[in-house]
Amino acid sequence: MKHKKYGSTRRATALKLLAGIALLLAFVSMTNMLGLLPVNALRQLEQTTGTGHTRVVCGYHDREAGVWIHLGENDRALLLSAAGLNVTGWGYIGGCPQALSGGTAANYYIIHNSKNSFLTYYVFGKVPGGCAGVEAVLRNAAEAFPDLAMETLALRTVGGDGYFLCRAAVAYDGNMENYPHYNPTVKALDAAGKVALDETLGDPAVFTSTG
Amino acid sequence: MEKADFLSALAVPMENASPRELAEVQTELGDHIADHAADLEAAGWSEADAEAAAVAAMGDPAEVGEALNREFSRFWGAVSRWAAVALILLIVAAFIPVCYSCIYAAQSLAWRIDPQKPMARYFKGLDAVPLDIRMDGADGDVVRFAMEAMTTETLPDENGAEQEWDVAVIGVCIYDRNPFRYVADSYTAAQPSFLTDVPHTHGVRYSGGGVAVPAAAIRIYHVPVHRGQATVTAQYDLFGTYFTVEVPLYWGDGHEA
Repeated sequence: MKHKKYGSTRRATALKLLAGIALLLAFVSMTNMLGLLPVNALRQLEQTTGTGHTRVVCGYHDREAGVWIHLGENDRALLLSAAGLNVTGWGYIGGCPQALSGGTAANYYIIHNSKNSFLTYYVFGKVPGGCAGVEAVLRNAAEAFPDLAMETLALRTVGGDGYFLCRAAVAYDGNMENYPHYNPTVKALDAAGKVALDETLGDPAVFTSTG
Repeated sequence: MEKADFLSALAVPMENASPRELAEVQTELGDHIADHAADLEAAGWSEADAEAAAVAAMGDPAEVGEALNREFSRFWGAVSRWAAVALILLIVAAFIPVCYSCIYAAQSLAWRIDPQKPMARYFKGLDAVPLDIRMDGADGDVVRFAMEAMTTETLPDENGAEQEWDVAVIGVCIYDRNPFRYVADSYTAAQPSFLTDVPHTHGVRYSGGGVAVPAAAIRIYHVPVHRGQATVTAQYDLFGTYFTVEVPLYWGDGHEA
């Protein structure tokens, strides 16, 4: 008895649906319409800042601040994105924290999480020729409190250059008048162990609120 | 065995098939039996005998049902069910962002086709002149100087005393070549800037308002200039993309100085 192949119809239906999912995923991901992954926030930030495509140097999930941090770089810029989940998926929060490359560069970024009343400081930067170590400290301008050492989240060498990302969280009562004006001091060593970067950073790239 | 009995018996072992798939199989096999019976009837068989012979020719309904059941793969059935659910969820999740993106893209296309239209309200009462100077900005952007008018404004001089100064009002439209991509520098809006040696530097950044969506921006600049100045220099410097352009100034009669 000849009859049509029912099994192949089932497989064909499944494959058509999977192809549809793949096409839709590729479309929304390439156009950045829907942030499917936290790294999509970095891709959006590349467009809104104008840096062009960057390669991801490091990614970090900060549970305390409720964000994903990505550091992207190309020959023109070093870019930090903090990704949060919103109605359009993963998108960057805050403005456009960025530090131009070309020689040494460092900057910092602050997130205020209103849920847990913490300010989270991120210091990020680049050391040409590699980075053997980094030491970052939150130093209070009024020197009323002891200096707070920052945790080093990433120390990477990509394409011969070194990149670092440091973090520290400090308590914050939510009152802007009591905003703790910590100025991070960062000291980074190059591949040969010499001090390549030693400076106190000024205003943060961006101060933003979540939670 | 009658046709209806055969089809009922066939269904018993076909546990992998969905009701819709089972109905499809029963319809198809029922048609086969009917066709065969019709052929036999045409050859002179009675109706009852023809149907019985056609049903008998199909074989044991339990064996046929088991053979057909093996063709309905549980794996592919489960994959297609989950894929259908995932596709629906994805379409629902993407609906709002895709709508927003399409609205922004439409706005970007409308502004690049006629940039003077959204700028018109900033040039009310002024003798505006259309411009069409297009430059390449960062990351695929186009910076288009699209409208200009000369006016006077009361501004403080270097000693703080207020004076009337000539001011060039310049409208700039910025958009990405791809209408679905965002405009660069949308957060700080620092590019382009205008260079002027007139004491007050309000013209260095845009100061006359504007409107923006993620995919395009209209910025109005008020640039203090010297009376009779022929051009004003616009400068753009963003992540390695740099240009300067001389924007001609039209003084009142529609002609360049």
